[in-house]
Amino acid sequence: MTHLTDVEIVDFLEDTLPPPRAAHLENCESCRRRTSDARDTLTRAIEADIPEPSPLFWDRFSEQVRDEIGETTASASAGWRQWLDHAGLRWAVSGAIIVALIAGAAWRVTAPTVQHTGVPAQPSARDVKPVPSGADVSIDDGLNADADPAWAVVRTLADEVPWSDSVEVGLAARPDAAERVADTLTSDERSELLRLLRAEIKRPGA
Amino acid sequence: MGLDAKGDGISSSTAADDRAIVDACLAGDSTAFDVIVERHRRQVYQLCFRYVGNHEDASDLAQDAFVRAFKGLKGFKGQSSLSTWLYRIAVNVCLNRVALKTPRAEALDPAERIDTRAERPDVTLLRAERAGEVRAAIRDLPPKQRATLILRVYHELPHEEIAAILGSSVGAAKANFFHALANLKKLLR
Repeated sequence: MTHLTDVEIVDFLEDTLPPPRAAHLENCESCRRRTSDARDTLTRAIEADIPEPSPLFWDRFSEQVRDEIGETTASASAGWRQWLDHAGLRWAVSGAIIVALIAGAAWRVTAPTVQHTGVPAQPSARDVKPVPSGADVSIDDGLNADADPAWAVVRTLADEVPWSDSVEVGLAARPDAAERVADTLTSDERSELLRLLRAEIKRPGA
Repeated sequence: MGLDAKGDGISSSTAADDRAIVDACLAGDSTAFDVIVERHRRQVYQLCFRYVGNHEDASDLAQDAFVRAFKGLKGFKGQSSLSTWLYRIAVNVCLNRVALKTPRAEALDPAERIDTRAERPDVTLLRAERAGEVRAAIRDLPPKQRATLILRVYHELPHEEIAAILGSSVGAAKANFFHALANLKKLLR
């Protein structure tokens, strides 16, 4: 009969070794010694207790865990906004998004309708909505900026940028900015802009 | 022998209770995790203490384990008991920490409560010294043997759960346990 393996000695210590295998110990001094040594060490290990902290420790422990979880939760929710604390990165990204939004808005105003033939159609008079005289016309009519997710991102970012920072890095409008932008518009774009401006002027409360 | 040889596994009522409290945490009940901490803090702390041998590190490790448990609550599937799941996290925290830092020597802990049972002072002192020798010897065991011995002897986890925690087979866990005892005997000579 072969000697008990390490696993079988553990099983014997825990009273799970099948009797036929356990019977080997009756005739094997070597296995009896290994088993006895393991049992003595196990007994000594079991008796080695550890000091118990005071009750105050446990109250403080739970509190510290709670605080640490609170800090972890707070930093995780603010994580995506932490980059805003870096002013340089903030204005650079804000500026890039604002430029992209202006370009997108300009494209939206001027983009022709594409017919099924694939040839871009020229806007016809029927495509232009007439401005009702005396009606309450919003300058945002048709654009619905509040529903625009890109605009929502820009507004959120811009809220975090102090005015002094935006002026300092050139994001704020300069005195001749409107004129310079108007110079770059096509004649159709200027006509549309003029229509919007007149409608805004006529709006009650403007 | 003082050990639960087979282990009962998780009872259905315990499993249901674990699931309910985890669900409450995930639903946003801020007090539910406090209950988990309160129920399991002593066991987790003791595991960490036996692993590193001093109060300060054990406290840090135990707190770290609970924070990690909170972050990973969605990963609790209920396949093991919540306590076993927490032990797994605590063992990993201990294994990672021990790999990075050299262990601090065990110092007298002013927070330690003095055993006031009626026994002779010399007996108390001898018992404390022997316990200290065993704790120091356990800390000198290889990491996985140390974890195996602590989980089996002091937390009475069945070998199947120890194997799952350490990512080994049941046979390897038992062999690890035997080698831990053999090495512990050598260290205590």
